[in-house]
Amino acid sequence: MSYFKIALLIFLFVSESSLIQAQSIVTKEYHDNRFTPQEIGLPDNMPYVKSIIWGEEGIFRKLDIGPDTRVEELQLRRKMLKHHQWIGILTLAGLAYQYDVGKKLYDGDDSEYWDNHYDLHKAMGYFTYATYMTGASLSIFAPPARKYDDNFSSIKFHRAMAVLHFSAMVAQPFLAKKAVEDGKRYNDLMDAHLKAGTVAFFALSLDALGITFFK
Amino acid sequence: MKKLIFILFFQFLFSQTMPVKIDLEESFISYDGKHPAHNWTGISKEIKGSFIFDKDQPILSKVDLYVPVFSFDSKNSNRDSNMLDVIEEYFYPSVGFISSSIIKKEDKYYINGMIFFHGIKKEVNLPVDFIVDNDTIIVDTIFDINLSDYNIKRPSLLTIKMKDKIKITFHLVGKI
Repeated sequence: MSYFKIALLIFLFVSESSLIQAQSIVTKEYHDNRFTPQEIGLPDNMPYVKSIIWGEEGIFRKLDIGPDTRVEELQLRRKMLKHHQWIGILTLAGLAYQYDVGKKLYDGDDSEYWDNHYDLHKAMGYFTYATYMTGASLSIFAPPARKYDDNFSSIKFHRAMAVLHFSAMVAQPFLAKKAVEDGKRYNDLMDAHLKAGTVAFFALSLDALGITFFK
Repeated sequence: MKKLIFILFFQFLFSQTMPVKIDLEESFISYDGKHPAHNWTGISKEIKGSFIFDKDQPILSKVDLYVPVFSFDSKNSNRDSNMLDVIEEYFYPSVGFISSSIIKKEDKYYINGMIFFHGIKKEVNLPVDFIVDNDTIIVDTIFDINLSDYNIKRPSLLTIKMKDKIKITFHLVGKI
């Protein structure tokens, strides 16, 4: 056999082998790289409140509060938001009861009902206030998510409604306390207390519906 | 010997196996998630990897594709972040598929291979449709996966978990 034929045979064999090899595509390194976690940083478009707390120059960074790694931050966030959901449901149930009892106390002339429910309403007020603020804190102080965008979605609706029910929840106990202290303005302040309670309850209900049913 | 050289030469010269250049504008992979309260779709256009197509014998084609899970967008960053959390994207950044064989049954192609997701490998058999039009190939497949098969804890909304089964739609447009 001539050298030319041998060379041609080797060339064709090697060419085809390399073509077949090329088709098997995956080197181990190439395969592993795609499944190797990359370092995760802070997200873009962090909400303002989040960046004040958790931004690179955020308060928690300066005070060295929170987990050491971003992965641990994300795991902590998940736990905090799970509790935020449960506490939110509990608060909504409490507020529904509070709204019903509060309205009856406000509207009714039944002194027996007043005697039986006033203390309960007050105690439940402390309870719902505590659960609400705990739930809100879990959301506000949770480490930042992986992603933030500018789309209008259920979470944007949730944040907008939160401004409303948070303001109402802050105002409610303050108005009730002032009404008890200031006899002259009792009726006006109790009116305002009821309105704040109504806003808090309906805004939180609407919020829960929005986060559940909106995409 | 002449015959062997002849066969090898022509096989080399007229090999119809070619890499497909994926059109990232047109191609996508999506998942349809379901919850009793609402349904949603997350889409990614970041299909990476390689697809070698054999025009004459499609069963000799090879697929090795993956998608960074971060790239899935459901138009709700909070939901996307939750999904990234439950699939532990910080440990398992990609979902991938590598073919092992392709078979043809009654004019329908099925691609056997391995899905890599959440650190778990699972063998699957996917029905595939494809159209070749001049230098363009369009590949479509729709299939379901169970999140529990990949050891993923389903996220919940108001204590109700999303459905375990999600529908995957894969649409690839490429140049050959």
